Amino acid sequence: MEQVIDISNLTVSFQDNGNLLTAIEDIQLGIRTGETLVVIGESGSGKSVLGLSILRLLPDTALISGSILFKGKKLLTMSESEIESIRGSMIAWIPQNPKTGFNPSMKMWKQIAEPSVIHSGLSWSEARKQAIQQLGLYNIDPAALWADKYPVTYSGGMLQRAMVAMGTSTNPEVIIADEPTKGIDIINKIAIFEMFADLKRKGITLVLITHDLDLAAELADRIVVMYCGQIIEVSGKNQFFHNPRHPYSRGLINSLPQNGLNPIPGSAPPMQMRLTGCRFRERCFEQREQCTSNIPLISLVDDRVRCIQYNSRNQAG
Amino acid sequence: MIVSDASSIIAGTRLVKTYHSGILSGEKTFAIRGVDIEIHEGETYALVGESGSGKTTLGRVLLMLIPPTDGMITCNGEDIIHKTDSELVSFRRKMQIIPQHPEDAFNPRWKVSRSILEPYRIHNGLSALPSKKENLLKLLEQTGLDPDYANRYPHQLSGGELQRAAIARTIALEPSFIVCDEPTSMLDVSVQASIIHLLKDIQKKTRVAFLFITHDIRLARIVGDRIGVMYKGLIVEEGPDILNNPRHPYTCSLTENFISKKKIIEDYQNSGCQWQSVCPKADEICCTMPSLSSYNGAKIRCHHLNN
Repeated sequence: MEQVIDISNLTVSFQDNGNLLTAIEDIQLGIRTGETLVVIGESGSGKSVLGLSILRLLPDTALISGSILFKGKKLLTMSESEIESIRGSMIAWIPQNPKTGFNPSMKMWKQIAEPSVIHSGLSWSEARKQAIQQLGLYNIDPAALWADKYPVTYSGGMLQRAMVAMGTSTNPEVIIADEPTKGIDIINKIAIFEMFADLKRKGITLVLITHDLDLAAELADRIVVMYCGQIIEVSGKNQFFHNPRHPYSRGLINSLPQNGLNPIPGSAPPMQMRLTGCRFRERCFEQREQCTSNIPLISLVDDRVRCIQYNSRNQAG
Repeated sequence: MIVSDASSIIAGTRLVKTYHSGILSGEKTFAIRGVDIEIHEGETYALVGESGSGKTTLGRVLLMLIPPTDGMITCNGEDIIHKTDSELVSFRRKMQIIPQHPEDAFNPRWKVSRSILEPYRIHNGLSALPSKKENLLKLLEQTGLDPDYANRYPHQLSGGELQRAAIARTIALEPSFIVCDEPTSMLDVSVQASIIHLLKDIQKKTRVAFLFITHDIRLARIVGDRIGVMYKGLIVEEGPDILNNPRHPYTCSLTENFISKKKIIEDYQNSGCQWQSVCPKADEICCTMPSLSSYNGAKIRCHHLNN
């Protein structure tokens, strides 16, 4: 299957008082054209860093190695002007908190029109018309009225929709959204699900970074699970929800309210205290001796998992 | 005067909160529009509703953090609306809140231990107080926090740990009523599960009453002994099993995840049932406000119960 983004050996670390902190480690991931890939993991698992590194939005202090290819072009080594022409026009980014993602002193239409003026060369008056259309498309009615308002007058759900209106105004091929449903109530959440489902139908590749399993259940084609900076499972949606492979994935599914609200014992260690070997082993019910050695991401047909159990099964079968 | 039965810790009667905006236009916003609510010892009352329905306002009004425009609140049978601030202090000890955003609820320049022990400094009338350190260790142990964490600053704790610290502070004075205002909506699912278990453990030991505010219906189903559904400032349905057997059209739409675009832009109705503009059952009678009537062990605010 054709891949629009191909990430290999990606490691991102930061210097902190002389210590090297690794946020994500040796990420191998191909994002297929037109798929919806949901990246899940708890806070500190490195999922946002992964999204930011695709857009090359990490701070200069980040130490990055590995490569990211966007349709064959090397995103990490291209010039600043080249990445500028891709970021925001071909790959759009929808940031985590829509409340801080807008300029509070700029009318909404202008913020939505800006990417089209910069990337597609529209005039401001054309872009204004398009911006109003975009707002209407995402159910901000009446669009002409709301276009002239400032972000503070928008509710949380409306801001999230306006953020998507802005992100999609240049017809990007890939949209990367960071926690699009965090802290949003069920009714507004459904509106956001529908909005992404529409984008999916249009054939846009979606990368949704979240810890909301409802979002994953609703929209994902494939699910990537991250834990402590590593990818520990890549599975199709049905596989993940009905038969999750990694013990951590099983723990996540069991901790949902509808599955009995069973917590995973312990908590994820902070970045400076990562274990060698399996990083989940101290919280795992199925821990065994071999878990202290480093475990690669093991391929299983279409999916992948980082757990020793599957290694032995592979060798046996 | 309505006298609440003895087992209720806190009861609100016909509570109204109106906000005025604009000096000249004199616009009014009705945050809550006449709510009756009663919570008993050892009970969890889960309050469900979408953003803007008034759930947080109701929680804060019950704690007298926001004075109601009209209505009555009794705590252990005693009226607390007409008390002066100094008279209220002894009631405040018994009523606490767990915030939605624990990171905003701590002083960033204080060590966590100082924040957790702050209630003891405010309510210094407590007699027979064991030593500070003993108290702190007991609270940390109860909430499952490593004693080392007490010497850290809030930014050095994760969201889940900080929420545990907020709970430690909340239970320091052994309250009999706690408002949990979306305590897990910003947390990861696995952390959410452990925080809910912690709250339930505390309730088992201390018989504390919870008002658990959430917009997650599945969570409300699990934690709530009794559930109230709030819509535009009113409780439209209340009962122990209403999320599994919803009767009110609004509750039905919540549990079926039905969404109407019309509803998003619809403003308040001047009179009558607030749900009428989108309700499939609506007719002329819905222009008058239905009362909250009892029905099969639940209470419901709808004219169309029997069809």
